[in-house]
Amino acid sequence: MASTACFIIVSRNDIPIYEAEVGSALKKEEAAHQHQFILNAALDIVQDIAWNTSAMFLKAVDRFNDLVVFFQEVHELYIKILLNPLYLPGSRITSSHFDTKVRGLARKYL
Amino acid sequence: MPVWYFSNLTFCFLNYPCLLNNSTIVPDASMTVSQSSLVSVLSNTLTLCSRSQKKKKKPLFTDLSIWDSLFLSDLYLSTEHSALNPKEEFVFGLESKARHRSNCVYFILKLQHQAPQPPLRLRRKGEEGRNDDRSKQEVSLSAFAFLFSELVQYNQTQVDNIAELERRLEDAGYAVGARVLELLCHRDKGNRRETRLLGILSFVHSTVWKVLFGKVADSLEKGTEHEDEYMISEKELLVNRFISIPKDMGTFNCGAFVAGIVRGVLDSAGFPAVVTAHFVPMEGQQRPRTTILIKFAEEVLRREARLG
Repeated sequence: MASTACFIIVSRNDIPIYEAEVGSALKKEEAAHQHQFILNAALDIVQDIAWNTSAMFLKAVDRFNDLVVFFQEVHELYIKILLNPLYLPGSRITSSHFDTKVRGLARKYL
Repeated sequence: MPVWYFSNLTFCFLNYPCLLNNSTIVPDASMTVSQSSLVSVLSNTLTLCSRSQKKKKKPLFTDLSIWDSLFLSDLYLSTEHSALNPKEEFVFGLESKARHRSNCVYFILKLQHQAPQPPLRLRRKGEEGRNDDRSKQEVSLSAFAFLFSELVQYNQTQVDNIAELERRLEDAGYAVGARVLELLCHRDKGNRRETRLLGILSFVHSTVWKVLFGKVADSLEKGTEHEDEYMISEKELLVNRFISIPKDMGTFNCGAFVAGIVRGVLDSAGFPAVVTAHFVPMEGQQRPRTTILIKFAEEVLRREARLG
């Protein structure tokens, strides 16, 4: 059974700055389009309710409670990237260390 | 690939020729970092510099972006530079372009090779009581004043007019603001965002000011003439304390740096605004008050009206 998870960090103006695919994917091309579709749908939902709540984790999209910890950990990692004075906010995250850590976390929580 | 973390920010003033010749170092007497740690960092740096001179590798110089991380005591840098030996300490600095001075300001940042599980945590809830933590978050005022003055002077040599100088200082502050927002949001507010105008303004006025300057801002006012204007006033901005503006510079205010910080915070929170710093003369007082004027964009007011 193929179970893939696609994790994408999107910056303002809907530009993806980080993507990771975890798990075994059988058909890569189909999955890529599907991911974009789902991503855009999710962004629409998020945009609608983003300004009504002051919480960071939006329950509408996050149906699995154990993902909250995963998101918190990745958020911490992202803040550490952001603190890098040489990192321009909104640009692609190219650090391989970040990549390794996120995949490790994904394996642990997904 | 080793990952490098900046663990301490140490300032020191060196004579540039002396750095390479291994001769006397004259640290600033008013600094509050411990003398022994300073000497140890310096001696390591000199060894490293002389070593890299031999290897013909230049120390890494960065642009003004290093100044951005000034206020943050937890710094993070990840580099894939495999040529660096994990045990070495590294000089990362900015050479002052003001040629009339023979001094250079260097940030000597001690890089340490981290184990796979980084002990650096952003949460500080349980650690506020400890003294060593507190000392890590403070930087000596004189060091900062010197640093800021070098920042202004460096920019002065790069631009032709005052407006450009103000813009550069603002841009430097903008990057600080963006990072401060994320950090504070995570650290102090437990991951809750501000969605309302008054909320974000009071966040800037109290939390941000407290973290950056050690006290809340003097006052927060709403403009009487326009709906979209707000003002944060301060009797004397910390960054302006050792700066006096010559008459031929007119209305220039180094508080543009702080205005940039505020703009960075507001912009990253989703409240685009134009932020400027002004001197407001006060009756009965010698030095004028500084006011940070915040003018929000149209969409912010529309959204506020929609949210009711």
